Parts: sequence; C-alpha cells; structure tokens
Amino acid sequence: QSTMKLSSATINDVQHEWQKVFAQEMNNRAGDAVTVEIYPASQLGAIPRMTEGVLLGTIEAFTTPTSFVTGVDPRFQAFDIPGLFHDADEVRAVIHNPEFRDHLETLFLDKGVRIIGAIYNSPMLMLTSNPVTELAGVDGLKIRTFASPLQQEPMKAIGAIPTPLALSEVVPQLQSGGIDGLLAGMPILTAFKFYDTAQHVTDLNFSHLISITLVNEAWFQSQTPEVRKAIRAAGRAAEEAVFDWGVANVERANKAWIDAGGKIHNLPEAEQSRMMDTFADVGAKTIADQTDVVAEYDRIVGVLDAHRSK
Amino acid sequence: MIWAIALTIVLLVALGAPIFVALLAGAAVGLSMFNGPPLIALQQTIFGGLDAYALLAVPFFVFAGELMAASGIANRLIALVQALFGRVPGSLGIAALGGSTLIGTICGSSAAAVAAVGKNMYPRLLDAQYGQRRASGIITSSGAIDIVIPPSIAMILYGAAAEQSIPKLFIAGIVPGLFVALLMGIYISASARFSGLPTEGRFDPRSTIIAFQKAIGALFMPVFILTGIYAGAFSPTEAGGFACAYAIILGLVFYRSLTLSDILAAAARAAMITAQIMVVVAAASVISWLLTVKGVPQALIAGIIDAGLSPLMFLLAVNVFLLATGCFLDPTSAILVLAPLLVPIAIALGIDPIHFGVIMTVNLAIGMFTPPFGLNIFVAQSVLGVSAADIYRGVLPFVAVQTIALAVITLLPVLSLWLVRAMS
Amino acid sequence: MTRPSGSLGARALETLKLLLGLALVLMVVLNIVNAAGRYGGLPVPGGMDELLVIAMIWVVMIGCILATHDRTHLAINLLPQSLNNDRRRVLETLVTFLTAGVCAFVAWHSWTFIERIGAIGQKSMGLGVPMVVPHLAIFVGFAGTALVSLVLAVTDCRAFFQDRAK
Ligand code: NA
Ligand code: NA
Repeated sequence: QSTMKLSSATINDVQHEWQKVFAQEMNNRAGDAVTVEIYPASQLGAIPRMTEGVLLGTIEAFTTPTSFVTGVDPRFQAFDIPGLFHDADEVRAVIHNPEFRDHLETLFLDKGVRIIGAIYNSPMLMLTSNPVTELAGVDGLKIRTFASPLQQEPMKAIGAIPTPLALSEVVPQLQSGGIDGLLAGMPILTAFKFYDTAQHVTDLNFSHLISITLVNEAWFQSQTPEVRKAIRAAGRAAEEAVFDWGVANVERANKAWIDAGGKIHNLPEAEQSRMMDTFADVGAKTIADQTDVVAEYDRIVGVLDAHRSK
Repeated sequence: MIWAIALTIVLLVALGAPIFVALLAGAAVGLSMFNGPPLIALQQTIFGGLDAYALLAVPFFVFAGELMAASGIANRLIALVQALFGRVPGSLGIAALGGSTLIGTICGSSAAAVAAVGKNMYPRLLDAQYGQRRASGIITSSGAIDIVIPPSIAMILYGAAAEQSIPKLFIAGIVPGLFVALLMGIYISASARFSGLPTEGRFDPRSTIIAFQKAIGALFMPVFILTGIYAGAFSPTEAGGFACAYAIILGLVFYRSLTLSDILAAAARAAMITAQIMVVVAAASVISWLLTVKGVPQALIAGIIDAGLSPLMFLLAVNVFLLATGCFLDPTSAILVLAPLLVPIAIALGIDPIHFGVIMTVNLAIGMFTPPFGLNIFVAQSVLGVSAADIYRGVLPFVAVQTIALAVITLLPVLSLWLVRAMS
Repeated sequence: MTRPSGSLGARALETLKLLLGLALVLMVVLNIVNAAGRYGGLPVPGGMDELLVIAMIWVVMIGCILATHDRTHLAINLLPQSLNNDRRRVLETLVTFLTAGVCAFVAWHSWTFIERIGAIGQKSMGLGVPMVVPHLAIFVGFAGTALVSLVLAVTDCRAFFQDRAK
C-alpha cells in the first residue's frame, strides 16, 4: 500500500484532467495497492519546488509543460523549438508514436525521473494590451517571456523587447503599462482571467506547449512489478483519453475568451509564414551548440517527417 | 498528528522559545510521526517559503521606514499633524496617530512606523502625563494603519497569493485605512478629555505653514510612489526600493540630515528586522505544507461549503478566525498560508475578492498588536522599553476600536470598493 | 543595533551586520536599475528577479544567526519574565539548548537535500546558477544558528553554576 501524490501548477485544465483520468485508470488496474492523491493549483509549492520534489522523491509525480523543467535537463527544450509543430495532430503523431513514446519514457532516467504521461497542452499565444494584427505592431513592445533563449530570441527577431519578469509582477505591470504583453497558452489566460487586464491575443502559432508527467524513479522502482506495470499502462491510457479533451479545451478557452470580451487576432498569411521562417532559423541557431538537444530535435523531426509523408 | 504539532508549537511558544523554533519543532514532530514525505521536505518547504519575489517588499519597505526615521522625514510629518491638531483634546496622541497614518502612505511596514513614531513621540507622551500604558497602546496600535493604507506589504502578498490586482487593492485600502484612523482619533480625543489630560498648544496658522513647508518634501513622497506604480514605471514590490531611494535623496541632499554611515546603519537594522520576520515566514510555510498534505485546508473548505454559510456569516466566521490567527501568526505568513485557501470560497460566495483582501488586511493589521503575539508589540517592547504586560493592557481599548472599524468595513463593501469603481 | 564593544567577536558581528546592510543597499540599487531599464525599454538581462531573491534569502539566513546571538528573535517571553531569576535562567538555557537541537536537526536534513540536488545538477531557470547556491543559505543559516545557540547555552550553564557556587 503506497501513496502517489500528483502535483501541478494549474487546475481544471488538460494537466488536471490527465491526473483525474490517471487516478481512475490506476484504481481499475491496481485497486488498493496505490492511493493516488491529486494536488492541483500549486498546492504543494511553486513550480521549482515541485520540480525538486519529484527529483528528490518528496512528491511522487509532477505534471508540467516541458518549458518549465529545462533546468533539470536541457533536452526538454527540444519540444519548444519555434516552428516545430504546425498543429495539435502533429504533436499527437509524435508524442503518441509508440516507439518515440518508449524512448521518451526513459530519456531522463539519468536525472532520476521517468515520464509516465505526455499530453498536448495548447498553442503559444501573445497577449497584448493593444491589438496586434501585423508584425509591424510588435515593434518595440515589451513582452514578458521566460528567461529562456527559446522564448527571448524569437521575440527579439520580430522587434519585441523580451522582458523577463517574476510571475507575481505580471498582472500589476500589465495593468499599469509597465509591460505591453506576455506569451502564454489560452487555457492559462482564461483560467487566470487575463481578459480583465488585457483583451487582445495574437495567435502566433509558433510553438505548442507539451505537458509531461514525471515520476520519481526511485519511488517507481520501489513498487511491485504489478504496480509498475499499472502505472505505465494507466499513464498511456490517460494521455490517449485526454487528447481530444485537451484540443476541445483549447477551443472552450478560446470561446470563453471571446465571451468575456476578448479578441483573437491572426497575422496576415504572408507575414505568418515569413515569421515562421525567421523563427525556425532563430530556433536552430539557439540550440546549435547543444548537441544533445539537437539530437532530440532531429529525432522529433524524423517522426514528424514520417507522419507528414503519409 | 495535527494535535501533536499544535501542542508542540503552543507549548514551546509559551515557554518563550523563538517562534520559528516552535514552528520547526512542530514540523519535525509532524514529519516524524507521518510516514510519508522524507525529512528533506523540510529544506524544500523552508526554502519555498522564502523563494518568492513579492517578499522583497518586506526588506525594501522596512528599510524605507528606517530611513524615514533616521532622516527626520518621520519627525517632520509628526510635527505637521501636531500643528494641525494643536487645540484638540489629546492632540499629542493624535499627532502620534496622524504621524503613523502619514508614514503609512509611504511605507508598507507597520513595524517601521511603530519604531519611527515611538522613538519620537513616546517620551513626549509620557511628559504630557499619558502614562506608559496609554502611550504605548496608542503607538503600538496606530502602526497597524500602515498596512491598510497603500503601499502595503500585506496587500502585495495578498495580490500575489490570490491573483488579484495589487493597484486595485491599494486604492481599496485608502478609505478603510482613513476610517480606522478617524475612529481611533475620536477615541483618543474622547478618552483624553474624559481623563482630563491637558490640551497641548493651540492652533497657530504661522507655525502650521512652517510645519507644512518643512514637510512638503516628505508629503510629495507618496505622490511619487503611487504615480510611479500607476504609470507602470515600477511594480508595487519595486516601489519599496524607490521609496528607499527617495528617502535617501531627501535626507542626504535636501535635508542634509543623513550621512552615508547613517544609511548603512539603517540598512543593517532593516536587514535584521527582515531576518526576524522572514525566518518565521519560512518556518510557518513548513507547517502550512504539512497541513495541505494532510488535507486539513481541503477538509476545512469542504466543511464551510457543506455548512452552507451565507456570505455574511462566512465573512463573520473569517473575521473571528483571522483575529484568532493574528494573535499567533504574523500577517506575512498568515496571508501566504490563508489567502489561497479562503479567496476561492469568498469568490464562490459572490464576495468581491478586492473587498475580501481589504477585510483580510484590516484583520491582520489588528492581529499585529493583539496579544499575545504581534510584530508591533515586539517592536514597541524593544523601542519603547515597556514590558509586554503593560503594552497588552494599553492596546486593549484599541483592539476594541479597530474591531468595530473592521465590522463596519466588512458590512459596508462600498467603503472599500467605491474608489476602485470610481477610478475604473 | 548594539554599540560595538571592544572585543574582537563583537566587532566582527557589527561588521557582519553592516555587510548585510550593504547587501540590502545593493539590492535596492539593482531593483531600481532593473525597473528603470525595463521602463526605458532597454534589454533587461534575465534572472535579475532571481538574483534579488537569492540575495534576500542569504541576508535572512545570515541575519537569523546574528539575531540568535543577540537574542532578538521574535518570541513571547511572558512566562520567563514572570519567573524568579534562577528559574528564568534555567528555562532560558533549556530553550537555548532546544533551539540548538531543532536547528541542528533542520541543518542535517538540509545538508542531505543539498548533496542530492548538487548530484542532480539542477540549475535555476533565469540565471542558470546551480540551485545549490540559494539552497546552501538555509543550511548555513540553521547550522550557524545551531552552533551559536549551543555556545550561548553552554556559556549560560557555566555562568549559572559559577553564580550558584558563590
Ligand atoms: Na502603507
Ligand atoms: Na497578534
């Protein structure tokens, strides 16, 4: 009899949904052998604390977008290269490809974590106080990004001023005009009611967030073979089951945004494809000197090429 | 397990152990009895309790308060209030109260206001026959207004923890803060008249103008800070740093009342006060983590929802609960632990989260001087050199006055919200 | 602040406090430069927020050791104050021993954590500094507090028995 605490920073989104389905699947497969407890909304601490928790085993599992755990292993960046995926189906083709999925599961075992869930989250958007309908409108805007080159360099390339800022400062600074916008996925923007602060979203569609669930490997190995098998199977079953929910959730979030008075803009097609070319160059250059990241990137591109040629 | 933790903490606090030691001992007992998370979770949660950008408001605003005392800015503000209220019964007491309120418009830390006003006003209140208890009571309790009137560390942390707009919270705090000050002023004046305390001085237009001229640089400070925040030049957290810079420039260049070594000494004092407060915050975060993992807050919330409380009954229950919490916990830890739990319930009951933020802040402000535990009490003890027992008796009437103010602020959301609505 | 007395130890403590003050002044400067740069639309280097928070954590934990030495930690000393001199001294000494024990316990587990996080090599997101750097502050703070408390408690004990012998 053991307890498995699943943590995440958000609530009522696809990450939370995966955890709920995973808990059911575990109950069906392992019964009383494992008690699954779900702690959404950063109840167990901020993202860096949950990361350390799963690395050291104070928390058994942590569900997060890959872009938050690049400090654990730079290879997590491979999923965030701008221009890699065109849509949700391409993400599905890669992360649910059986061979790639097996590879992904054990990719970070040397860090003491195993991947038991890989889910499509949402496309990356740019929220701004004023409407941005063409690339010229981005020029000189202060856009809050992570302090990560894969977010900062593309923003620089289209004329924005990437502005890293502590999370707690984002809303007050957006309200007072200290920053002009930020990068985020729509489910986050609606969950945190960003429409009260800024109404305009430009769908840059340059990258897609992928969420993964990490489990502490030492804890995993301490379970009986039956429980280990159940965890692996429940994770895969849950991620297949919530893919459509996740895609629908992005649509629900988009609708909620519009219903709350928000606007969603797209760039003119020619500008969009020009921007994607720029981003692809910038992305490749940013990771060029990290051979292990490039190797992962190439593997993903290989799976994608096979999918596209079908 | 919960009882073992609580018993350990209460016992050690009563024996006079440092609060953070009592909390950590409770956490160690809890973690040892509870065969779940390994003990390294201690490090993780202690660190997690400190690793928050919004907490930078604590050292910055405490430093700003120390600088206001050291540079004479605080004294100029007190002198202005005294000139304005010279003829009113209890005018010296009102000068201490008004000084705290004005300092509160610049500084986000109530401990700093108690220290600055206490150093200046306490000897004078004693000379004017206020007596140790009444004098220390006025100073210890009026510092609390500081965290209700913007800028406010408590509101910055509430905004960060509850994902609410900090500038809106600041605006919402203005009227309730002034209302608390007004009620306290009426009580101070009435009780001074009742006890037959001599009225100091008289209203003299010329000396009032001089006091005003001397205070003008200091009076411009809140304008600078609030304009900077609303213009987006700096965030509320960063505002603390700008308040320090303003006080340094005013004291160093214009008043020539500060030297570089004064600044360093003020910074060193602020660093020590920060350490004393934040080590408690860090230790409290271990307890709150343990409670979360044991499902205590979740059960509490479910209980409140099951009980089907009306919004008003919920607010009343929250007030009682927070006043009790405030007796033992400092506002910084209390907000970080409780806001994420209580705000979703408040929103579900249709209570405006900004109004709720003001209620929580006023509540915890009262907690800062409600016996037995309270940062203002500790600061007053060390700055005024009065025993805790005397301060306890001195603050009691003000606990009553501010609790009445809290009840009015709770029942009339309009006090908090009309300025917010008028401005948006 | 207490007036520096002549002894080397006391002067070292005062110097340490001034260094903490200096760190706070530098944090204020960094905060202003960062905000002004952002307002002016200059490319602000990432991780300034992390740097400020790390500095704050170190200031707090070093300050914790100094406050232990000065016996200025927040506490409710009503009970000790109400006791007669001998009993008060016994209680205070016991509490100081307890402080040493609790802080040593925390420091011990803190060290275990740091060894493990160091072995994994996790880095912070913004600055890319090893997470060992900020975490070490907790270990240093509690180990230092434990050590200072132990010295204080032993000194108190010795003084108590010497006074009793007189
Ligand atoms: Na204030
Ligand atoms: Na209290």
